[in-house]
Amino acid sequence: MLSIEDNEILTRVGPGTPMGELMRRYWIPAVRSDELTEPDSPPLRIRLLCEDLIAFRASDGHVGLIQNACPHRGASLFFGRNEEGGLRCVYHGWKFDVTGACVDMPSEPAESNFKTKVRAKAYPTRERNGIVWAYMGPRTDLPPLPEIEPNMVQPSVVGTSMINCNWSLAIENNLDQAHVIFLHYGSVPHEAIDESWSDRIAAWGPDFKWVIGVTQPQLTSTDTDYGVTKVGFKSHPEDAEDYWRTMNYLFPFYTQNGVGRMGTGCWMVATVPIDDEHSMQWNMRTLVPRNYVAGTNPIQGLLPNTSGWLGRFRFALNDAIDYGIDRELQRSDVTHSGYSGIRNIGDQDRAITETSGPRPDRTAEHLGSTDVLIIRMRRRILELAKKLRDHGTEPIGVNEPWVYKQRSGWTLLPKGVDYWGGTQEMRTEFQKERQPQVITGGTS
Amino acid sequence: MLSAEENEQLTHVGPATLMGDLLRQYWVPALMSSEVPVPDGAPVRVRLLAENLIAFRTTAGKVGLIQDACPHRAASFFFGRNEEDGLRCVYHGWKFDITGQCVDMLNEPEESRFDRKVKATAYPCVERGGLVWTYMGPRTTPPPLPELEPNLRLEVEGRGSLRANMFDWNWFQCMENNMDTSHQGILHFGSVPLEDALDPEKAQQAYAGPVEDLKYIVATRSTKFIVKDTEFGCSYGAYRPADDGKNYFRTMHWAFPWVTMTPVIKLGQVASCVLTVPIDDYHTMSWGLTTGRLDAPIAPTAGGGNADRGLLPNTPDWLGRFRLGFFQETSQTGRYDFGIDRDVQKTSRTVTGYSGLPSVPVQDGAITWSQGPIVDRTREHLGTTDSMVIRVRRRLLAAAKALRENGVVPPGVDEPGMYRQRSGWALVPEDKDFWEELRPLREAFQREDLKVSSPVG
Repeated sequence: MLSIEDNEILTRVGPGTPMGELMRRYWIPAVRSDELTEPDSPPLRIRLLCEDLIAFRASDGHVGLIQNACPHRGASLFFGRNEEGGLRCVYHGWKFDVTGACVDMPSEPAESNFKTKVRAKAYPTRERNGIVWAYMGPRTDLPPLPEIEPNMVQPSVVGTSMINCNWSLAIENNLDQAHVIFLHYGSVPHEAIDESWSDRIAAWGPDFKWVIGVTQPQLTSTDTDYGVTKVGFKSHPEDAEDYWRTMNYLFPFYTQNGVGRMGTGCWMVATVPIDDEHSMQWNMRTLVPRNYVAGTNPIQGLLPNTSGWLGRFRFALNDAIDYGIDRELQRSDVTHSGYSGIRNIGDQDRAITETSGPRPDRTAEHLGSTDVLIIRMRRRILELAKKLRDHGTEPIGVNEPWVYKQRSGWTLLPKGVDYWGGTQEMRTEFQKERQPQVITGGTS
Repeated sequence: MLSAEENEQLTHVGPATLMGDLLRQYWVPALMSSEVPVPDGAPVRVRLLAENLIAFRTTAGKVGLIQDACPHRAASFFFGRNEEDGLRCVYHGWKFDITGQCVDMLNEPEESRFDRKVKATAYPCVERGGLVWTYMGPRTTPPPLPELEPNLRLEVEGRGSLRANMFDWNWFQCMENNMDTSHQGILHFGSVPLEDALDPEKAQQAYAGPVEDLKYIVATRSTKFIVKDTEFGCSYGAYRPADDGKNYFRTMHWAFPWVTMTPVIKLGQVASCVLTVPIDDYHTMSWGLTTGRLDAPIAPTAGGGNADRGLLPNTPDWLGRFRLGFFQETSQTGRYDFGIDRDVQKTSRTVTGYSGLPSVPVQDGAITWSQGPIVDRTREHLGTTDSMVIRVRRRLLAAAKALRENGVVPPGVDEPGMYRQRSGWALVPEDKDFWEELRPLREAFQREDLKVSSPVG
C-alpha cells in the first residue's frame, strides 16, 4: 500500500516530476536500430517519458532525437525532410542538426542572424547492439552506458513490445514470482511431473517440477548496490539438492526474472515509460531463439507498426477483445492456458497488468508476504527519487555502470551449501570479462 | 511568443471568456442554408463558440437557432418536432418559436399560462449568399451584416461559391496559417526549381493552379514584410524582387475578427475570403467564399463550393459537419501520416515534393493539426516573417480588453462597408509605395453600389 502522494511520485514520469527527473539521469532505450534503417530515412515519432520526440538517422549515420514541435511555430518535425545532415521542417524550411542547432532558415532574409539564436531540444544518443540509447538528463558530461551483458555481447537478441499500462505495473508483474503457479500453471495437476508429461515439461522448463512442486517457497529479499535481489528456496526432502530461484530489480526500470538456468546466459528487461499509461518493454537476451533473423524484432503477435505516437510494437491481442479469453479453455484445459483461458503466458501477464491500470490505485491494495520484492523495489526507487529531488543526489548506477553486470535464474545447490557462496560464480561470471564497448551512431 | 495567459485568452471562445465576448459582437457564420433545406425539415445540431444549438427552418421558411437543452428539464431539441412555426420538445411537448418564446405547453393546465414566463436562448439568423449568419451578442437590435463581396455577389448576382470544412484544432492556428504567406515558397513550392517555374509548361506540371507568379516565389524563398494597421484590421505587403525594377507584392488582409483575404491570384481578378469560425476551443469551421474569376461570365459552380473537396457526408452529431476525408482517415487509423510519401519527398519537383504530402490543403491541414489542439505559443520563436501573425494577435487581444474594460465596440461591427476589400498579388515599381499604388484595385468594390437589405429574423 502506498500513500496517494507516493503513488503519484512512483507513476508520473513527465518532465519536472520526481520520478521523471530520476529516470532522466539514466540512459534510456529509445529506438531500435532497425527502425531507422539507413541514413536520411523517414523520421519516426517517439514518445518517451511523456515527451513527444522525433528520431531520425542523419546522413552520417548518427541518430538524432529532437523535440517534435519545431521551435518556430510548433509544426511537427515528423513531416520533416531528413537530408544533408539535418532535419528540415517543411513549414518554413528551418533545419536542425542532431544536436538541435538551427543550421538553416531559408524563410528569413539572408542577412538575418536569427538562426544562431534558435535551438531545438535534442537529446544525445548512443547506439549499441541494436538499441539507440538516449540521455534526457541535465548533464553535459554524459554518464557511461550501463554494462548490460546482452547489450554488449554477440550473439544476443533484443525484443521490443508495448504494454498499455503504467511502467510500475508492468515492472511489478515482472518481479512477482508468486503468480506463476496460479495465473500461468494453476490448471496443471501435480501429477504432471511424471514421465508422461515430459514433452510439455520440456517446454515449460526443466525446473518445472520445482516450480509447481512446492507451493510455498521461502523468500528472502536483499538490498544491493544495483537495486534489490530476491531469492526463493524450495526443498524436497527426498532430493539431494535444493532449488534456488533469483530475480533482480535494477535501478531504475530493469528486471531480471528467474526463468532459465543461472549461469547459462543473461536476460534483462527494461520497462521504459512511453507516458504515464504506456510502456515499452525491451527484452535483451544472450540466448537467441532458433530461426532468429539477426537485426529483427523477435516478439510474436505484434501488429505492423504505424507512424502514430502509440503505433510501435503493439500486440494484436488487447483489452478490446479481452485478450482472446476462451471460457471453455478456462473450464477444461490442464496446460498453461487453462487457469485464465488466455492461451499464451505473455498475453496472460498483459491481461492482468493492462486491466488493473492504466495507473493503479495503490491506496486500496493489500500486500502479502509474497510481495516483498515489490515493496522493497518501491521503497528504494522512491528513496532515490526523493533524494534527487530534495538534495540533488545522483542516483545509484548512473556513475557505476558495472553494477548492471548481473545474471539471474534458477539453480540447484547441494543441501546445506550457502546460496551466496554457491552461486557467486554463476551470478557474476560476466563481471570478470572486460568487454570492449562497441558504440556507433552516437551524438553528443 | 505569448504568455500562457495570453494564449488562453486568444484561443478560448466560450461564453464569458475574453475572446468569446469579442467574437459575439459580430455576426457569426453558422450553417449553410442547404443544411436546413425545407420548411419543417429535420433540425440540425450546430455547435458554435462552444455553445450547443439546434438549427431549424420554420413553416414560414425562416431559420431558427435555439439552445439545445429544453428550458424545462434539458432534454435535447434535436429530437424535436419541427412544426407549425416552432420547435416542440418531444419530452413534454413544450414548443418554442424562433425568438425562443415558449408558445405551447401541453403538459400544464390550460389556465396556468406558465408558457408565457419561459424563454429559451435563441439567436437571430439572416441568410445571405447561401450562408446563415447569426448574432449571439448582447444587442437587442443586431448590427448590420458585414459587406463581404463574395457573400453579396452570390446573393445578388449568383456569382461564385461557398464552401465549408471542419478542422479538429483551434481556430486561431487555422487563421494564422492563412496569414502566413512565407510558407508558400517552402511548404508548397519548396521543391519546384526556378528553371521549372520559368517554363510555363513545366510550371503547370508542378502545380495545376495559377502559376503566373510562381517564378517570383521560388526565386526568393525569403519574404520581406510591410505590415499595416488598418481601420478594419491589418494588412501586409510581402515582397520579393521581380524584374524590370519592380517588386512582386503579395497583399493580404485580416479583418476583425476572423476574416482573412489571402492573395490567391492577381489582385483584381477575384474577390475571396475565409471566415475562420470556432466551433469550440478545439474545433473550427472554415468558411471559404469566392466570387470566382470576376472577368469570367457568371456561371454557378456545379454542386456548390464543396464539390470535389473530399468531404465526408454530414452526420447528425455535434462534430459531424463538413469533415475532411483525409483527416478522418489518418486519425481513425492512428497513423497521422496524412498519406505522406517519403519517396515523393525525396525526389519530386512538384507541389507535393517538399513535404511528400499529396495536396496543398492536406499540407496545410497536416501542419496545423501537428501544432497540437491548441499550439503552445509560450515556446515559439517568431521571426521577421511572422510580423503579421504578431500584429493580428495584438490587435485582437487589445480590442477584446478594450471591450471588456471600457465597453469599446470593436472595429467593423458598426462599419459593414469596411469589409469591401480585395487581396492578391501585383507587381509594383520599386520606387512606389505599394499601399497607395494598389489602392484603386484593392478598394474597387467600395465604388460599387451592390447592396441588399437584411431584415433580421
